[in-house]
Amino acid sequence: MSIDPSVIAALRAALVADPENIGMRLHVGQLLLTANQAAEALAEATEVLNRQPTHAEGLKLAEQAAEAVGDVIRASGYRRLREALGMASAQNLIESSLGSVPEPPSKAEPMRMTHRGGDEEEPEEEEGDIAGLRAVTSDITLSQVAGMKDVKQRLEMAFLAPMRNPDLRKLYKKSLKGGLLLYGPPGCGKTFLARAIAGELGSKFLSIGLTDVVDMYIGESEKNLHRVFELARRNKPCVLFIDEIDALGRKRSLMRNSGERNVVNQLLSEMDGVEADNEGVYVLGATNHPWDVDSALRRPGRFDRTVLVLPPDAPARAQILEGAMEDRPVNKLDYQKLADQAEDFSGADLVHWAEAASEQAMADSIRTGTVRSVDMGDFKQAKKDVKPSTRPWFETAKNFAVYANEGGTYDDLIAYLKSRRWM
Amino acid sequence: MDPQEALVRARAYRSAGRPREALNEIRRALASDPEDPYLLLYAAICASDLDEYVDALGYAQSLIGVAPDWAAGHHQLGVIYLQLKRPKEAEASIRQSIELDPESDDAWAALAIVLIQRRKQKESLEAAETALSIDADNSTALNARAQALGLLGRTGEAMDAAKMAARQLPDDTDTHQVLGWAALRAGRVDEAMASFTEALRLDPTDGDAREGLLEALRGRFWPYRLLLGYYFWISRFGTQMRWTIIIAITLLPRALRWLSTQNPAWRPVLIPVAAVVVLFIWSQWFLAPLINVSLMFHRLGRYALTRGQTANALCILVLLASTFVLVMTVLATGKPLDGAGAVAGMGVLTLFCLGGIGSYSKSERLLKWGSVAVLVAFGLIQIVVFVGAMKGIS
Repeated sequence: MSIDPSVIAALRAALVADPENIGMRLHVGQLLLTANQAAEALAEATEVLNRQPTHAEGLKLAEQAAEAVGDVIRASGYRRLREALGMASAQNLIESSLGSVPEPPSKAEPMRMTHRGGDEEEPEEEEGDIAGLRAVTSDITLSQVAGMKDVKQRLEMAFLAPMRNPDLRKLYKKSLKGGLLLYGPPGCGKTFLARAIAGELGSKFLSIGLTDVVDMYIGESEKNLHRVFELARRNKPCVLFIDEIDALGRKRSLMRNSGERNVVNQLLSEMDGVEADNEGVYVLGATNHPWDVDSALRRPGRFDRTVLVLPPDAPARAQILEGAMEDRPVNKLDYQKLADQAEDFSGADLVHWAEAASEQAMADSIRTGTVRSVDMGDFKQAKKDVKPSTRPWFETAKNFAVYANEGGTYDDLIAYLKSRRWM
Repeated sequence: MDPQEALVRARAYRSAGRPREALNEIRRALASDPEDPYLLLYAAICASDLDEYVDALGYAQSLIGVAPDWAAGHHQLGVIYLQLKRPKEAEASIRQSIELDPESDDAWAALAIVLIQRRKQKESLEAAETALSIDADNSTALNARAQALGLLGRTGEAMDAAKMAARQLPDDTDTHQVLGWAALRAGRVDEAMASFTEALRLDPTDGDAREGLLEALRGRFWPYRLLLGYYFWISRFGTQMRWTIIIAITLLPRALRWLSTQNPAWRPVLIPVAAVVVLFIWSQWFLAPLINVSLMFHRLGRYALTRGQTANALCILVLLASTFVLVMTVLATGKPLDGAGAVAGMGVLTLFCLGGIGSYSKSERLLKWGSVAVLVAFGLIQIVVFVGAMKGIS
C-alpha cells in the first residue's frame, strides 16, 4: 500500500506542535511501517514507549518495526515484554473490578528557591549552586491556609515571630534555627502550608523534593546535600522545606547498604550544624510516612517538634470548597452544608469534589446549549464518585500509634483517634 | 534512557522506599532496551516489592528467556514462586540457581525457606547451614535455621538459634517473629509476647506478627497452651500424616465407646477418656474465639484482633451475656422451664457456629457478617422458644 508522503509530513508537523499526542504518534508510526520506513517507525514507537512504557499498541508497533529492520532480538524482547504486561493487564483488570487501585504517590516538585513578592516581581534566579534550583514567587500566605490553627501557632512561635522581632529575639536569646516535622494523611495541605510559609516569610524559601533526593543519590549525594544547606545558610533567614522527608531521612535500619545510610548521616550532621552555624535556617519536613523517618532526626536541635496535620475541620472544609469554587458560576451553594457532608475529606478530596461538581454542570451546559451554574444538586451527584481518602492512612497510622509510640511520638495522633472513637 | 542510569535512579528510588517510582524508571528504560537482563531483573524485584507478582513473574520469565544461564534470574523466579505460594516450582527454580552458582548464600537460604514450606525440615536445616557456612550473617538463613529446628522439635536449639539471630539482626521484624514462635513452642509465653510486640514495634502493619501476638496472648490460658502444643506437634508431619492423625483423633471417642460396650468393666475409665477427647476436639472449634472475648479487654489484645475477630468475639459475648440473663431469669422465677432444653441446645449450637466461623474463617467479611447473621438467626429462635416457655409458666 502506498502512503502519500505529504500525509506523514503533515502529521509529523502536527506532532511537533503536540508531542504528547500518543495516538497520533502511533498512527504516524504505523503509516511509516506501511510505507517501508521501518527504522523511522521504530523511532516513533520508542518515543511512544518513552512516554508510556507499558503501552500495548506501542510495544506491538515496536516489535513489528524491529522485526522489519531485521533486529530480531529486539523484536523478541518487545514481544516478551508485551506478553508479560498482557498478564499484568489481565491482573489489573481483575483488581480494578474488585476495587480501586491506589494511585502511585505523585512526584514532588523540583528543587526551587521561592521569594515572596507581588506581581511586579519576576522570578529570581539564584546564582547556580545546584542544577535545577530556581527562584519562583509565592503569593500564598498563612491566612489563606484553611484551619491548621495549631500548626500555624507553632510556626509563628518557633520561627515567624522571632524572625520579625530581632530585638526581642536577642533579649530572650531565642535562636532562629531548628525544625518542624509535619505529618499526616496525604492531601491535607502539608506542601501547601510550606508554600504559604514561603509567602508569609518575605525571605528565602528553599524546597527540595523526592526527585532531588534521587538526583542526590546519583551524584555525590552527601556533597549535594551539603550544598543545599550551604545555600540555605547563605540566604538566611531561610526556611528549608524537605518534602517527603521519609525518602531523604529514611530509617537507617530500612536501608540496604551503608552507602545509602551516609545520606541520612549527612542530613543529621547538616541539621546539627556541625561544620557551619545554622542560625537563621529553619528546616521544615513533611511526610505521609513518619514511621519511616529515622528516629535520630527527631532529637532536639533537629526536628524539635512533630505536628500532625489533620484533615480539615468543618469550617476549614467550607473555606476550601468556597476557595475551589471561586471564579466559577455558582447558584445558591451552601458551603457549610456541603462541608458537613464531607467528614474525613482531605483538602485534595474537597478540591476533587468541587471539580467533579463543576464538570457535571459543564456537561449539562454542553448538552443543553445554555450555561448553567453549579448548584447543590451537582455536588450531590458528584459525591457518588468522591470518597474520603484519609481513612486508609489512619488505619495504618493506628497500628504505629499502638505498637511504636516510643517517647510519645504519636500522642497527638492517639488523641485524635480516640476523639474519633477509632481507637 | 540509558539502562545504567535508569538502574541507578531505580535503586535510589527503591532505597528511598519508593518501589513504584523505581519500577517506572525501569519500565521507561525497558522500552528502548527490552532485552537488558539487569533491567528485567530489577523490574522483577520492584514488582515483587509492590506485591505485583503476576508482573514480577512475567519479567522474571522474560529474563530467563534472555539469560538462561544467569543464576540471579532463576533465584528471583524462585522467590516469586515462593511469594505466589507455589513451593514446588520455587524449589525447582532455586535449585537451578544453586546449580549455576553454588556459592550463593542467598540461594541456599531461599532454598531453606522453600523446604520449610514443603515440610522438609531436615533438608531445610542442611540448606540453612550451608548458607551460613558461606555467610554467617545471612538473615534469611539464620531465621530459616531457627524455624527448621523448631519444626524438628529441637525446641532448645531453636530458641538458641532464634536468640542468636535476634542479637545479630535487632531491626529485623521476621527474626523477632521466629523467636516468638520458638518461645511459644517452648511454652515461654511471656518471652513470645515480648518478641511479637518487638516485631510489631518494628513493623506494626505486619499481619503475621499480629497473629503471632494473638497466639501468645491466648497462650496465657493453659487449655489453649495444650492446644498450641498439639498444633505444633502435628505441624511437624507431612500433609498425609497430618490428616491421618486428625481423622484418628476424630474417630477415637467412637472407638472408645465401642470398647466400653465390649468391656463394661473398663467403662469408668473409657468414658471419661472419651469425654476428654471430645472436649479436646470441640475446643479446636470454640476455644480461640472464646478467649478472643477476653482479649477484647486486654491492652494489646484489643488492637491485635482484626475487626472480623472483634465482631465474632462481640457476638459470642452477647450470646454468653444473654444466656446468663436467661439462666438468672429462670432461677428467679423458681419454676422449671419447659423449653429449657431447646433454648440451651440452641445456645450451644450458636456457640459452635460462632466458634467455627471464628476459628476457621479466612474471610474478614464472613467473620464479621457471618457471626452477626448466626447470632441473629439463632438468637431469634431462642427468644421465640423462651417467650413461649415463659407464657407456659404464667
